[in-house]
Amino acid sequence: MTGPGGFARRLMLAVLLSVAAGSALAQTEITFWYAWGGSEGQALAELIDEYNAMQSDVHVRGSFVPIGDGERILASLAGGSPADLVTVWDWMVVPLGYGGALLDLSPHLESVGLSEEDFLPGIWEYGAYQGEKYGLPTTLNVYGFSWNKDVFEEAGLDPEAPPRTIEELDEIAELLTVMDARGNLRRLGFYPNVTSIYFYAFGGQLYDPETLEVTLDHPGNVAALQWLADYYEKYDINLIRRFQAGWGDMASPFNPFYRGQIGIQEGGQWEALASTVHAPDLNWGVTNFPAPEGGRADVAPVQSSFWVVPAQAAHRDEALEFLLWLTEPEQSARFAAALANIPPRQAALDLPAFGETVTPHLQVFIDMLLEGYVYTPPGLPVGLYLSEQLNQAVNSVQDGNTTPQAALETAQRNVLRELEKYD
Amino acid sequence: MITGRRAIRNTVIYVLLIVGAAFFLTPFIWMISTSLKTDAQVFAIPPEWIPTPVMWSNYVRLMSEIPFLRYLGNTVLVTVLSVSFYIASSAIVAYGFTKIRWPGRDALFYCLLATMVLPPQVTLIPQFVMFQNLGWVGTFLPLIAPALTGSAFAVFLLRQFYGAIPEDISDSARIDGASEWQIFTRIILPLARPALATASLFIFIWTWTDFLNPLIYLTDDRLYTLAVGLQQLSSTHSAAWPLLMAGSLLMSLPIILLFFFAQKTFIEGVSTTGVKG
Amino acid sequence: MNQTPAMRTQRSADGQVSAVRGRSRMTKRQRRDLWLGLAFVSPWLVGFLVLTLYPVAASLYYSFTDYNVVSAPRWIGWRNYTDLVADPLFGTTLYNTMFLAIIGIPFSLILSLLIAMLLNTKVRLQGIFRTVYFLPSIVPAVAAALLWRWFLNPDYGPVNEFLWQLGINGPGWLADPVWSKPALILASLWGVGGSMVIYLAGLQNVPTVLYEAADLDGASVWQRFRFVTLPMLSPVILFNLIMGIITSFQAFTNIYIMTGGGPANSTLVYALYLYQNAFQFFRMGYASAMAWVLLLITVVALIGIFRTSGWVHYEGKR
Repeated sequence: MTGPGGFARRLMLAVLLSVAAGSALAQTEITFWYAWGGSEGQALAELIDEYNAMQSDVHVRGSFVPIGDGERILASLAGGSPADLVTVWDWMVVPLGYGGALLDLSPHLESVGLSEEDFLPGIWEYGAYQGEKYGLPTTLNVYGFSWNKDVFEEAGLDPEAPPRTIEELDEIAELLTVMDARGNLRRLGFYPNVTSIYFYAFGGQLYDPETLEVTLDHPGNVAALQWLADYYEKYDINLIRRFQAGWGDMASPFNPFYRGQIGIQEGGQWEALASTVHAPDLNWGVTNFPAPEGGRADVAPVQSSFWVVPAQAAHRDEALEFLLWLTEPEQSARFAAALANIPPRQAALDLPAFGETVTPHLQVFIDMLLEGYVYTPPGLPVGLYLSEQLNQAVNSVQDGNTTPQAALETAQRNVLRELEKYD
Repeated sequence: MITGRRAIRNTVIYVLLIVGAAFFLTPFIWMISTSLKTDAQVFAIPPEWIPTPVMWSNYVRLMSEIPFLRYLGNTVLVTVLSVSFYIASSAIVAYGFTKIRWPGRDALFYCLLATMVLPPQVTLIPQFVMFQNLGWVGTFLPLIAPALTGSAFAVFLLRQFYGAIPEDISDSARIDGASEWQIFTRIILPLARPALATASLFIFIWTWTDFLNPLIYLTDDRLYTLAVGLQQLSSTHSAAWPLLMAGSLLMSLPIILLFFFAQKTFIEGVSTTGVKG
Repeated sequence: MNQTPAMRTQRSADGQVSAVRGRSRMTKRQRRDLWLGLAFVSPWLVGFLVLTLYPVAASLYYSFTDYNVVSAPRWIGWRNYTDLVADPLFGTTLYNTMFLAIIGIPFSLILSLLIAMLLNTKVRLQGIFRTVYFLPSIVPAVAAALLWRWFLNPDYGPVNEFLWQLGINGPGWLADPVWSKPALILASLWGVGGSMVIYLAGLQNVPTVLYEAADLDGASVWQRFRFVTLPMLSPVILFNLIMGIITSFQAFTNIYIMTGGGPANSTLVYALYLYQNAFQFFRMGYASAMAWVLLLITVVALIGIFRTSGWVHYEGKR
C-alpha cells in the first residue's frame, strides 16, 4: 500500500490493529474449577476452548481442582477470593448457598426464559432451597434395577422376567443365593445397598417435597427398613460383609455383577456403557424397582454434581453467562455423552450428540427418568449430616441393636436438632 | 573359625530377614507391576504379578497426559527449599531446648509438642485466611515460609539426639572460650549427623507427597506439585490405576535413591569421640 | 522452701556460687543463658507467635460457636462440649482410637526395634535390607490398602487360605466389626520402617566401648541389651513412643482408605469423625471442640509419660 492513498489505508489499518490489541488486553479472564480428569476432563476442556474461540470478551481459564470434601473451596470462600465458577458435590450446594456464599441463579434463569419445563422432571428443585436456586446440575446419574440374565437362566428362572413385586424379589433372591463349601456366600441373589431407594419404593420419603420438612421416620421408611432388616438377618450381615470384601473394582471385568456374584443389583446408568467395555458378553436387563402393594413402582433415584457461582466471585456476570452457555442443550448433550451420563436439559435428549450414544439399556434409564417418580437427595444446610444419620440408623438395625422405628426416630431427632441452627 | 551355634544363629537371622524382606517388598513390586498393566488387569482376582502385555506406553502416556515435568519441577523446588529451611531452623531451635538451661524452657517445649497435637483440620481455614490476608495465596510462600520457623517433629527428634551427646567436649570448649554458636556448629552438629539426615528424610517424604497444602494454596494449576497433578489422570469411571502407579513410582524414586545412597550419612560414620579407650 | 529476706547463696547450673540479696535474682550466667536460649529458640518462637497462635486461638474460639465456615460464627458457649459428651459416637471413636493406640503402638515399637537391631549387625547387604524394610513407608497409602484388602480377604486372601489349611475358617478381618481393628493393626506392620530408621540412627550413638566393656565382664546378649543398648537408646524410644501416640490420635486417611470407618463404626476413629464434622457436616464449631478435647487428652497423656520418663537416660542434657 504505497502512495498517498495508501497512507490513509495504512493509518486505518494501524488504528484497527491497535484497537484489536486493546480489546484483547481488555479481555476478562474467569477461572473455572472442575474436577474431571482423564478423557472427561478433555471433553470439558474442548468445550471451554470452543467458548473461548467463539467470542473475545471473556477468556475462560479452566483448571483441574479435585473437590475432595471441599477443603479448597471452603478455604477460598472463607478467604474471600474464590474462583468464578466452581464444580461441587450436590450436598455442598445448599449449605454454601444458604450461608450466602453462592449466587442465587433464579433471577438470571428467569431472565433468559428458563423454567421447569426446560429441565427433566424433578430436576428444577434440585439444588434449590427456600425459593433460591444455588446451582445447576452438570449431568445426571440415575439408578435402575438390573438383573443378570445368565444367572437367572442358570438357576432355572425366566431370564426375561425380573421380579415385579417385593414378594417375587424375596423368592428369587433366595433361589439365586448360593453358598460355598466353607459356608460363605458364593453368589448373593440380591444386594440392597442404596437404602433410600426402598424407602421411596415402600411409599416413604426422606422429606416432604411440598413443605420441605424432613420425614426420616415416615411409616413407609420404617416399613422399608424393616424389610431390609429381615433381609440382613436372613442372609447374615457378617457373611454379606465378608462377601463384599472380596468384590473386584466396579469399573473392571471383575465387577461382581458382571461375574455373576450378584444376581440382581442397583445399577447406575453408566453401566450401559461400562458393561460394553468390561463385560461385552454379559446378558443383562434393567427395569424399575419392584415395590410392595401400595408403594411406588416407578422410583427413579437421581444424583448429580453441580456448577455454582460464588457470590464473591470477581467476575460473576461473565461466569453466569458462561454457565448458561455450558448448560445449553447442545453443550449439555455433548458433555453428558462424554461422561456416559444423562443431560439435565429436556431438549438435549433429542440432540444427535447425545442421541447417538443411547443404547437400548440407556433408553430404559432415560424412560425411568421421564416417566417415573424422580427424587433427589434432600438439599439441606446440614450437608452430609442427614445421610450419615441414615447410615447410622441402618448400621444399628443391621447389628440388631435397635428396631427400625427407633433407629429412624433417632435419626429424625438428630437431623431436626441440627437444622434448628439454621433458622 | 565360626562355631556351629553362631552359624545357626546367623542362618536364622538371614532367613528371618529374607522372608520379612520379601513381605515388605510386596507393595513396591505390586506398584511396579501395576504401572505396566492395562486397566482391566489391575484388579484381577487373584492378583496377577506379571502384566501381560507389558504396557511400557503407560509411562509415555504419563508424561504426555499431564505436564509431568513441570509438576516435578514444582515439587522439587518446594521440597528442597522446605527441607533445607526446616532442618536448618530446627537444628538451631533444638539446641536451645537441650544444651542450654533457662527458665521456662521445658514449658515452652511442651508447648511445641502440643502444636503437633491439635488436628490440622480445625486450623486449616483460619490459617488460610491469614495467608490470604498476607497476599501469599497463589504462590509457593505458604508452603515454604513456615519452614523457616522449624518443624516440631524435627526439633523433638534432634533434642533427643543432642541429649545423648555427652557434655564433656562442649564443656572443655567453653572453658577454652568458645561461643555457644561455635560449640553448636563445630561440635554438636557433626555429631548429630544421623539425626539431621533422618529428620531430613522424613520431612522430605512429607513435603514431597503432601496433597492438601499444595491443593489449597496453589490456585494456579501451573504451580501444582505432583501429588495434586497426578490426580488429573483419573476420571469418575476409571481410576487409571496403572498411570497413577507409574506416576507414584516415579515420585518415590528420588526418595528411595536418596535413602539408599545416603545411608552412610544416616546410619554409619559417627564416632563418639573422646570415649574410646 | 522458705528463704529469709536476708542474704542467701545460690548455686547456678555450672556450679558458680553467688551471693544474692533480697529476693532471688538471676546471676549473670543465668541471664546469659536465658538470652542465649531464647536466641536459639527464636525461629520457632517467632513462628509460633506469628503463624501458629492465630489459627490455634481461632480454633479455640470456634469451639464455642456454631460455625459452618461460610457464615459468621455464632456464640453458643459450652454447648458443643456438652453435645460432644452426650454424643454416642464420642465414646465409640475414642474407644476405637485408644484400642488402636494401646495395642498398635507397643507392637510397632517392639517390632521396629527388633528389625533395627537385626539390621545393625554385620549382615551382608545391610543397605539393601534397610531400604527394603523402609520401602512400604513411601508407597502410596492406596496401594498398601489395596494389598492388605487382598491379603486379609476373608474368602480368598492368603491369610485365610493359610488358616483354612490349618482347618480354621478365618475371620472376616477388615469386613468384620470384631476383627477390623486387629486387622488394621496387622496392616500397620508395613509402617515400621519409619521407627526402624530412627532406631538405627539412635543405635549409632551407642559407644562401642560400652559393648566392649560389657563383653569383658562376660555379659550375655540379653544383659548387653538390657544394660547398654536400652539405656543408650532410651531417648529415641521415648521419641518413637510420643510420636506414635501423636500420630495415632491424628491419622485417619489410611484407615479411611481401607475401611471408610466401618463396618458398623468399628474403625471410625476420632480423627475421622472430627474430619467428617468439619467438612462434610459443616459443623466446624463442633469439630473444633473435638479437637480441643483431643488436645487435652493427649497433653495429659504426654505429661504422664514425661513425668514417668525417669528411665530415659540423657548423657548430655543440661
